[in-house]
Amino acid sequence: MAVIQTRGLSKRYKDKWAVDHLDLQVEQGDIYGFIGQNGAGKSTTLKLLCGLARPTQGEALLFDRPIRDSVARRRVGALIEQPGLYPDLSGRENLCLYAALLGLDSPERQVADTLETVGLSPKEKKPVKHYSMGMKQRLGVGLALLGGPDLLLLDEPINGLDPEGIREMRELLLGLNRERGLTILVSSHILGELSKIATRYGIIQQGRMVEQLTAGELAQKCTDYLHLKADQPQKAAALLERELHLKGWEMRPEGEIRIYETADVKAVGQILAQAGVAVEEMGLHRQDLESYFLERMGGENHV
Amino acid sequence: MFNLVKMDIRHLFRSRGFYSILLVTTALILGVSALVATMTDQEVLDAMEAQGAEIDKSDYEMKAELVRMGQLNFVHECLGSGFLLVMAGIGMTLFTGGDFSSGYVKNICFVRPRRRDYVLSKLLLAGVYSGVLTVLSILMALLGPILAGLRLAASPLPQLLWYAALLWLPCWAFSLMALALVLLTRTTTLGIIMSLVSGARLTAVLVGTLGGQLGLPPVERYFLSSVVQDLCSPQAGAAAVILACAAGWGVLYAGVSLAVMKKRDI
Repeated sequence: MAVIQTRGLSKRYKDKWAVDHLDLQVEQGDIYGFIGQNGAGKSTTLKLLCGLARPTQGEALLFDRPIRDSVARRRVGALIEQPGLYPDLSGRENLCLYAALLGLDSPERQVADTLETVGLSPKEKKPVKHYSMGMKQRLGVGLALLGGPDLLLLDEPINGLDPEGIREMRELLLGLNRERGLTILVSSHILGELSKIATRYGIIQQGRMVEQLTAGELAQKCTDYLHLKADQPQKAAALLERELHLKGWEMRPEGEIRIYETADVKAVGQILAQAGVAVEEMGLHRQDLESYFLERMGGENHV
Repeated sequence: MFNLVKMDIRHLFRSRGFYSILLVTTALILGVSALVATMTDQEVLDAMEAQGAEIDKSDYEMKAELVRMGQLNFVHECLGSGFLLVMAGIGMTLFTGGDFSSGYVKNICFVRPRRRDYVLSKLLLAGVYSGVLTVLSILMALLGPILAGLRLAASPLPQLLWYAALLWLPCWAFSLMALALVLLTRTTTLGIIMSLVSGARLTAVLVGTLGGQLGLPPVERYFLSSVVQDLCSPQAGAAAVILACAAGWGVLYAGVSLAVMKKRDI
C-alpha cells in the first residue's frame, strides 16, 4: 500500500516554484531516502505533507486519505527542520505538553517509554536550551514518535550531529523500521548515511522529481564499469560491440565509452590497437550513491 | 481544540515568563503602596523637611487626599494608568512569540492544521492570563496598603468585583493586540513596543493631538488605554462604553489574528 502519494504536488512562492509537479510514492515499510541539494525543495515538500504549507496545485494523500484528514494525520509523526522545543522546559516537559496536545491516554507512561526509546533519561530535569545538538535531535524524533505513528517524516535528522550521534540515529531508525514496521521518509543531502538505511530513493532537483528507484535498482545502476576514451569513439564502440558481443555499454555525450559488463582490459586494448584506434584513457571506475547522485544532478540523460 | 487549550494553559503555568510578569507586577504594586504609605506618614514628612526637602501645601493636600482614599480608588490609582495593559501585552507577546522562536508552532499546527484552532486557543489563553493578572493585581493593591500600614476606607465587595470585571475585559482585548502583532510579524519586537507605547497612552495622546489639529472627533477616548482610565468614572453609561470598546477591539484583533494565521504558511 502506498503510504504517501503525491500527484502534481506544487508550491509556488512569488515567481519561484519551490515544488514543481512532484509525483512521489512511498510504500509501506519503506525507508525512503529523499535526496536533494540545499534548496531543492525537500523541506517544502515535507511541510506540504505535514499541512504546514498549502499546495499551490496538485494533491497529496497519506494512507489513501487527504493530508488534512484527522484519521490519517494521527498515524503520522514529523520532525521538520530544527526540532520545535520550548527551551526553558525539560525534554520530559516538552513531551508532556505534546502528549496533552495529542490527548493521549496514560501520557506519563508513553512519555517515559518514548524518552527511553530515543536514549534520553526520563529523570533529566535540565532545560532543553542546555541540551547538546544530538540530544535535541533525539528529543525531536521522540516528539515525532509520541502517539505511536505508522509513518515518520524526518527532515534532515542527522544535521549537526557528530559521527557517534549519526550512528545512534541510524540505529534508532533501523530499529524502528525493523521492530515496529514504521515507514520512514528521511530527507538528507548526506548521501553516505542514507545509503546505509534507505530501501527506496527519490531524487529531487529544483522542485522536480528527477528519479525514484529502489535500493536494488540503485545497486544495479551503481555498478562498476570500465571507461575508455578513444580518438575515434564511434568506431571503437562498434568494434567492441562486434568483437566482444557487448550488450551492457553506453556512449556518454563527451565521447566516453562505459562498459558495464565484465571485459578483459587487455583484450579491449588489443582490439582497438589492431584497428588503429588510439586509446587516450582507460580505467576501472567504481560508482557509489554519491557519484550517481552527482551525475543525475549535473549530467544529462545518457543514451 | 480542547486538547490545544489544555496544552496552552499547562504551558502558561509552567513558563518562567509568566511568573516573572506576576512577580514584577506584585513588586511594583507593593512598591507603590509603600511609597503612598510613606507620603501619608507625618513623621516621614517631618524628617524629609528636616533634611531640607521642600514640603509645601500641595504635599499636605495630597496627603489628606490619600488618607481619605477608599480601597477602590487606591486600586484604580495603581492599575488605571495603563500599567496592567502593558503587563498584559508584554506577557502575551512573550508567550505567543515563544511558539515561533522555539519552533513549537510547527508541532501545534501539525497536530491541529486548522489555523483557527490555534487562534481560538490563544484567545482563550489571553482571557485566562489577563484574568489571573487582573485578580492578582487587585489583590496586591488591596493587600499592599495593609502591609504598608495604610488604612484605607473599605470598598464594598460587589463594587470591587465589578471593577475587576471591567478591568479584566480591556486587558483581555489589549492582550489580543499583542497576539495579532506577534502573528503578523512572527517576532516579539513590535508586540513589546506597542504594548509599552499603547499601554502608556502615548498612542492615544498622539492620535488625540493630531485629531485635534485636523478637527476630527476625539476617537482616542475609545482606545483601551483611555477607557481603562475611566473605570472609576461616575458617569452613567461608562460601563457600557468600556464593555463595547473591549468587545469591539477584541473582535478586531481576533479577526486580524485569524486572517494573518490563515494566510501564511508555518
